Amino acid sequence: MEYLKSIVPLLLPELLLVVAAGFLFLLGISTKVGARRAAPWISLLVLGGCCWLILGEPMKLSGFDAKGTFEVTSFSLYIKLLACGVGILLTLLAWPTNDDATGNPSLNFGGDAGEFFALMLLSLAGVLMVSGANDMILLFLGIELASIPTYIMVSVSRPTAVAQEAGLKYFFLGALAAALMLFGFSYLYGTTGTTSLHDIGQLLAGTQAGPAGATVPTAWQVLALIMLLLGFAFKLAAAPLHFYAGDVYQGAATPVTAFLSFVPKVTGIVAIIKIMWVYGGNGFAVPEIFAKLLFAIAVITMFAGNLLGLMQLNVKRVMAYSSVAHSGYLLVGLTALAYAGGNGSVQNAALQGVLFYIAAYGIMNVGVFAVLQMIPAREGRSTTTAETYEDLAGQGRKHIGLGLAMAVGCFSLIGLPLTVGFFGKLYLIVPAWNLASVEPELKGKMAWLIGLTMLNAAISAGYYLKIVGTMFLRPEPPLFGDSVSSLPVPARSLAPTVAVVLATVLTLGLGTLIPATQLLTTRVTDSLEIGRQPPLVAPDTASVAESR
Amino acid sequence: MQDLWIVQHSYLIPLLPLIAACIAGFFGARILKGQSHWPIWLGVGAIAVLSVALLFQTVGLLGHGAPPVRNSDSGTHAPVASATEHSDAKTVSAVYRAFTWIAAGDPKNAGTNEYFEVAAGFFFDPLTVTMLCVVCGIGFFITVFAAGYMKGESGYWRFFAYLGLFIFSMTCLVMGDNLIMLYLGWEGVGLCSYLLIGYYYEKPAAREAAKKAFLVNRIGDFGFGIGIMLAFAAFGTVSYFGADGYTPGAANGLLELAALPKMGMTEFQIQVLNWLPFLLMLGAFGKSAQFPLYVWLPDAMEGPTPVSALIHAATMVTAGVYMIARCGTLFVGNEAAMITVAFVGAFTALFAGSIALRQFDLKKVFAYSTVSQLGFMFVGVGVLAPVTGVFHLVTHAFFKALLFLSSGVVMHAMLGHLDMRKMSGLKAVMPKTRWLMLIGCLALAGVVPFAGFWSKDEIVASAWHASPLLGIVMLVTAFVTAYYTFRLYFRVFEGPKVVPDEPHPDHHGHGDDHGHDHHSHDAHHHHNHEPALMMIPLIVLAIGAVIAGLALWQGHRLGHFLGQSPSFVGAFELARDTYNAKADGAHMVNPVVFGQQEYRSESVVKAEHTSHYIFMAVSTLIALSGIGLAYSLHLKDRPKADRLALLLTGVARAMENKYWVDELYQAVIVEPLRRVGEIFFTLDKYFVDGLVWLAGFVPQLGGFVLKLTLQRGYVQGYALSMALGIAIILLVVFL
Repeated sequence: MEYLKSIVPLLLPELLLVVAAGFLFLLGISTKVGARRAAPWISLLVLGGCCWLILGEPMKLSGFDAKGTFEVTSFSLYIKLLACGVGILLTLLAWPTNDDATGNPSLNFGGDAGEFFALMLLSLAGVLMVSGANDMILLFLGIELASIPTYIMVSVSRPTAVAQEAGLKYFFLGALAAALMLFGFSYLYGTTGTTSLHDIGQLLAGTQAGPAGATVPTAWQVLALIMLLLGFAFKLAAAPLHFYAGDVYQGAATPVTAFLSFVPKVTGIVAIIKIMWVYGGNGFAVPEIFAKLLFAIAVITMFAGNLLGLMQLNVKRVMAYSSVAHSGYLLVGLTALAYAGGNGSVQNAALQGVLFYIAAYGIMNVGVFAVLQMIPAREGRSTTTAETYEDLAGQGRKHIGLGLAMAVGCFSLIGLPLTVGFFGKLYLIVPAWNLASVEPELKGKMAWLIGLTMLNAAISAGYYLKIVGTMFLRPEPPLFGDSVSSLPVPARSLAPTVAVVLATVLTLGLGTLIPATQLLTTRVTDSLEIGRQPPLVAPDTASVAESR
Repeated sequence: MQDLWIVQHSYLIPLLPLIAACIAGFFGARILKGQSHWPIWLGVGAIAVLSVALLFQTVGLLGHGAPPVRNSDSGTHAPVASATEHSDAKTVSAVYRAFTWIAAGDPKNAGTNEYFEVAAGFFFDPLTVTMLCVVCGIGFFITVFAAGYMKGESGYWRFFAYLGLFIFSMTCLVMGDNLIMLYLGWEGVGLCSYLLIGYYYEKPAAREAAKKAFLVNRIGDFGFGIGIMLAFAAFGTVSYFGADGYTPGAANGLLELAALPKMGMTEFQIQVLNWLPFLLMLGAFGKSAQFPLYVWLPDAMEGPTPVSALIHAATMVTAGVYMIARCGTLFVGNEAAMITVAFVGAFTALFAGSIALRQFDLKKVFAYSTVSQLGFMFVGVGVLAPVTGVFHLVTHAFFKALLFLSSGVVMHAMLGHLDMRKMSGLKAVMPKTRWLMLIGCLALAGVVPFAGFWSKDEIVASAWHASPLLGIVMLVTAFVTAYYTFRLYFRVFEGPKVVPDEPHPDHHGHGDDHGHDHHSHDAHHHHNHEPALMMIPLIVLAIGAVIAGLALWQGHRLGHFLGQSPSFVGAFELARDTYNAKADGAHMVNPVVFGQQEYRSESVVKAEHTSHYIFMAVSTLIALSGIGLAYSLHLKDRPKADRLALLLTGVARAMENKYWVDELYQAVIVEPLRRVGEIFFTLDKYFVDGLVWLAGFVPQLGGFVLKLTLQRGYVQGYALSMALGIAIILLVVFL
């Protein structure tokens, strides 16, 4: 009871999400239209409540230096708030808009509205859990909790074979990734004898003999590191585990694709940051091999994403590879963080950059998917919302608001100024730049890193601008048959419109109001200066047992 | 002044027209339609009231000594009104800072060029208030007029949205407390000018004129921009008087730093001060249409007539004069710069005036007249008499707006015709307009007691005081002005009645949707084209054109008012220190024309008065003789004018063709640039595009290979690829 009492206040948002998910599963049994209509509202309400809870928690907590299995730090609060905030946008995307509330033109959950939103909430609960996990078991459980609902969501999102196939592929390959992660965790446990991430970090900190105070892990621990990193790379859709992205993103319904490109990515990035903290001996002074791996993965991921993105004819596939490329950019920020070693200011800037970029990506990405979802498809294919360039041709002129929103989203994804994407990329690159100026021996590496990132941003403009260009410059192709004219035009439904407006306003607003963007992340990293204040930590189960 | 409610809420002044412009712009096309003028009327009307109230309050502050010092902003955030009160016995000023707009660098280095800070701040002093009243007051009456004039035009809402945007930019320009705000407004009015000149964008001439205005202004603004950068590099600030406004004795702002003794300056700062006035001047010459950058203004008359009145006569084009008056301390210390300003102004005045002699389009005549009158203003500020320049700016705004709007009424009635050869004796058709036009013409010609007389006379006197050559040029120009003004008046309004019967091909506004169309357009039955909506603003402006001169001149009222401006005080002190040391007595700096009456000695006053009355007599005589010549050639015996033109064919043709300056620019600047452009285009097309194509091709090829080899859609294939990737990584790490 003592234990419960101490842990419940810490887990309130997670608990709220899980309880709400349970209720929604129950609600899903009902066949009433009213129940289906209520589900998204409940989901929205719960996410809003979570945001409120999270904002209510003190934001002046210290960083990772915690001893319990679960911790509430400003880092975790930031991630939680982000997940719930973008979760609200994603709920708006998945809003049922047809008459019997069984989905919207791009998404069809049939009678399973309750279950669908329950799965969304569960997956988000997983993200929240990952952000606070301080134990490898909890971390793994959190990642799986975030992932497993998504396999189902992909499968049920559309009554087509493509979606089933995508769900199955995603599940099989996800299982492979889970195996990789478990492999890594087991070796890490084997070499240290504890599952607590904090304790492992302490153990590794004892080995700080490398250059610049870096830890020196054993070969087994390096093996564990590689396995973990690759396992997380799957969640990120980073090379060499990005292959699934195209098929799965295309197969899933557009709102689910938007979900896939954000939620697992956040878990992956957060997990990598946690593992960096562990391998840096409860700091970021990671061994060089870690930095090298991140460097290689980042560069390969960027190229793979952007080159494949250029080749696609299906816009959802383009966005899939865009998502791969953006994982690469995030890893560029992490690479700078890894190379920063003991350099506090660069470290802070790099972490800030990565955290800011996740938020930026979440917002602009939702905007693009929301627009895709609101444009009807042509030629009566299995989907009823836009997927190919043909579908988009001329639509920007027809629906000028959607066209402009898409332009804003794409410009932001390229990283053009005045958008949040520009500042995101800037904050990712600046730490590397600063690092090159303080540490001359890293100059070459950082120059390559920055140069390749810029090059990739330029390549990516190839397909993003093609999307915008198609929408505005290409004439609408003539219609064949009457299949299209009878299709509902989803551009009128309210919820996705709200999502588009919110995402566009945020993309431009965060992009132009520089103080706001800085405020967003400074708080989090400022608090990483360890030991200022004790964190709110759930007591370790072991110590609780002792006290009993 | 800091305590005034209007100063504390001065963000309203730019904001209201901006909001109005947004409303008109966003809702005009669909919702407001023919009522699109309402937001602009309300917005501009409100700030016109605010400006006039501010004027009265500022006048009330004069000579009341310093109100108690107040400190209000301890730790509060934006909007932060600067705390300290600066109106000592001599100056009245206030600063309002809404927020820090741009901040770059480390605030520790504030005051050096390592830290760049720009506040969205406004500076208030008599000069600002004067300009605000001109911009908002005259601006309001012109928007009222425009609602009548533009009625039924397609894109009615667009016109008013631009107009609101213009007023917003112009208020930023005159109220800004630093060069960057000035530049913001400067470019903003430039943009609005471009948009409004090109308002009839389906007309090629309008498009060309808009482009020309924009490009010619770029040349000037390029110099201006460089000037601002250099000023910052040298002095570490772009603010006029620092963040806390003007404090006597302190030197925080650019204008104060530049007036410090040269001994304490670095070599770089001295060099910059040598060049800075010339760079800023380039901007002023571009915006205020001075030689050699005047060519855009006559073409700008392609815009709707209210625009010509507001932007291209009364307000925007005077921005250059305002800038030199405001930045007096950057200019007066540099003798060469002042001489340049004065002589360019004088040359432009005469040059443009002579072109106006042989123009036949009403608006063209007034356009060249505007260029010429702007030349007068530049002479005023150039001969160390900024008060006279601003004085002429104010009076000119009244009578030139009146003249333009009156010719707008004529154009409206004459179905788009403006050629004075095709019309005559219009006093029978439009009696009210005739009287209004006559008042405007008398003011422009400089006849006692109309507004133009007083200000022009002061400039001529100051010019004579500085250099007799300048004085003579000015007097000749005054004669020319009187002549061409009344040539126009006698031709159009007097004499036998001739009315054009065919609508002009470019004629706008009388389409099918036009309100007048149910009347017949019978050539001999031109109905009353003087609606009240258009007449009331004209009457107000006409009253201004009659009384503004004498009212402001009497007892040096305007001079006394402007003299309380820190800019004028600083400029005067700097000028006194610079010139009086080496003056031979004759060329002492005249305190009166800086608004510093208290510095003049009694003997000077006497001499000045005598010479002044002589000048008044002379210039009245000259104006009357110009009118007389116009009367004899264009009313009494019109064929004589044609015979004279035949006699002087060469001169007449040169004037008619504007001395072929446009053709010269075309041949010397435009054509060579076009050649160079063609070369670059060829290079770009074949070489650069080739490279781009290659750069695009390589990633495509890479993507193609990746797609064929690894992305084939089989789940086992993906798993294999992933395993392969893992294996490669492990191999690389462990081997």
